[in-house]
Amino acid sequence: MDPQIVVDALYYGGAYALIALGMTVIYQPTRIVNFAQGEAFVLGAAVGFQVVGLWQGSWAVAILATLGAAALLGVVMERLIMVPVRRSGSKYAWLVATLAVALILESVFALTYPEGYLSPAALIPGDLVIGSVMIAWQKILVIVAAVVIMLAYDQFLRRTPYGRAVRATSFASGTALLMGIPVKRVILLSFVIGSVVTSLAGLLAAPVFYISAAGGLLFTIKGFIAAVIGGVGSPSGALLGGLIVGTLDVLVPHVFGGSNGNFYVFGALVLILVLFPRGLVGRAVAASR
Amino acid sequence: MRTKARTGLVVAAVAALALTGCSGKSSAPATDPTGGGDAGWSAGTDSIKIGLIGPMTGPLGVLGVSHQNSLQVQIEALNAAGGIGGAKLELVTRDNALDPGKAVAAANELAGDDSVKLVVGPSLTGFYMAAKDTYEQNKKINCQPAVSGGSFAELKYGFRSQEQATDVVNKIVSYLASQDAKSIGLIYENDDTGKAYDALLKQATADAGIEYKGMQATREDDQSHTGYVQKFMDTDAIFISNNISGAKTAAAAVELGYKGKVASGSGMLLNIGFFEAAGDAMNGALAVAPTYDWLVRDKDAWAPGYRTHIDAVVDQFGVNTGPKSGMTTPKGAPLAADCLYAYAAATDAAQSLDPDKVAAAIAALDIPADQTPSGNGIKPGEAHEFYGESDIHVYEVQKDDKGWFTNDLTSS
Repeated sequence: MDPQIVVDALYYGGAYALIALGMTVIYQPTRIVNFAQGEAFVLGAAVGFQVVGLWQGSWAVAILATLGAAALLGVVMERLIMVPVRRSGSKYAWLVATLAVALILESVFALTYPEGYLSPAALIPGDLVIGSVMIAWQKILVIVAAVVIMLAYDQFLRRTPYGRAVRATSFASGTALLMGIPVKRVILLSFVIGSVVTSLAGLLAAPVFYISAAGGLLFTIKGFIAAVIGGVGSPSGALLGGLIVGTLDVLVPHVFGGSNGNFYVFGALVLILVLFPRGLVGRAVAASR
Repeated sequence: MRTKARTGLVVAAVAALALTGCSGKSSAPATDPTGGGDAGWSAGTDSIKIGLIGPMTGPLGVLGVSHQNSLQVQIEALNAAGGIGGAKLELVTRDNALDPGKAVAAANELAGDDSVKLVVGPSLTGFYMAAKDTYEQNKKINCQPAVSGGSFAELKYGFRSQEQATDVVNKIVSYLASQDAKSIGLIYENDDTGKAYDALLKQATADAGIEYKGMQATREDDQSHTGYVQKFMDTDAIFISNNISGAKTAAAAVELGYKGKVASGSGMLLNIGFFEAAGDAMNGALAVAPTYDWLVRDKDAWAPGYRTHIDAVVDQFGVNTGPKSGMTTPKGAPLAADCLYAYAAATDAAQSLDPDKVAAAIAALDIPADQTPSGNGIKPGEAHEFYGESDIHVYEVQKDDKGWFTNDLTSS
């Protein structure tokens, strides 16, 4: 197999995995699939484009600005999504609320960046050359960042009080509340973490991805598929699902041609769900709870 | 399905955006920048409404606004010169917001309004196909600067002010043949435009003795086109989409060190997003387009009519600038202005607003390139196509420390 294909599959997969992880972080305590998650990805790219591309600022400033903007976005999303969900009493309020937030944010980004594509200069310019293969350092950075962020979140869940609170809330929010865990604050924190994780992915991927200001829903779908394949609510499943979606995205055009791509990607999704109804690692997660 | 439709719309819109060609080159000032004016006859009315239907908001809002700006400039020039048959012109705009239902409803409304004498739009092929019968039934003169598909030959009241894909393909293939190119591949979206280019390239390359390596169909969610480019590494040229998908292809060609020529339709020249996404990968690419003087640095070489129109557009509305690429485009669409220019000239020739007489007069027009707002000669004939293959050029896009510019490789 062409090494270029492997690298492309890994960096696509890394980015999609972080979108899926962001979804998972929010899903765990809320049982809400956030269809506005792709907008956090676009936010990271937009901040990078604004700071590095337009203002010619440094990447350090861009990273700090992304962290701040993403945290703020997480708070805003939590308010816009959770308030209607709590007040409506409808089982499906989350669906309307998350889609509404996605469409609002998409319009804001499209109006703010009419040029369309958000592509700052790379944090690490240049390529790693191995024989005849050239791999952009930025792509490698995306892959490394995906693994590091995934491991860091896993450690956060296992080793910090807030991580244990998130796990407890995920397991049984009512009981967690009775045990004195501030469930609402945990949920707010989850929105912030989910937004930060995905925005960082957007920031790092922007130089090597084609991220459209109005393209958030496309990335939401990619992340959602990755999350479903891996098992919704499972951080390790998000990584596995992201890699599978990334691999399919790269391999399908090579093998079958681009026009047939969606058929094979969604066909794989259906097949996996038939064989593993809870996703590839969803069963293990459920058993561990 | 929805993705394909959206891709098709984008392709059609970007193709339409690309059209600001000119073929005449003269340093003499345009004698008549309006096409009409006070020609000593009476239209029998005080005012004439010109309809515009297009996406004024949303992702393709720049397309509709560009049309609006150019039509407004042209209307002001005509009114200053006395209007059409003494009647002052007024622009009536309908935003379809990329909603086919709204586009058809607007077409029905304007087609049924007797005070509207000319309708420009609805933009985009699919929308126009749904509206054209209404125009025919209501004998409404209409002109389409953003409809790339379908034939206008069978229409009585419909005209196209955009280059045809056939002419684009013939021009690039003949140019490549003159450069001893042996093979070409196509990387394009799997939509109607992509399929049309596939069919046209098969035919044109066979006639020219160039090997056609086939089409690689792309998807909207492709992040990299290296897989497609790899299949054409041994070709002498790759023809790519003129929307953002083409930018991905161009970037992949640079990434893989592709040695051949990358060529695209006219859309890329007016699409800031294309250059923002592809960046310096466009340096050296070929653009097959009607004459596009905007990127010619010697302004004295601009076609006089184009220069007059663009100067007015820039004065009133300004310039789009890509913050990253530095690419610029005027905030106007001279091909839309050509519609009104031709209409005014035809009504003067017919001395009437009667749609049958005006349609016949438009078909009979033969306006030199140095007079029209776009700089292209207007000669619709029976095909109802404003422009022909002679209006199409092959430009090499280049960039230096002063910015982007073009070299006309077919100027001789």
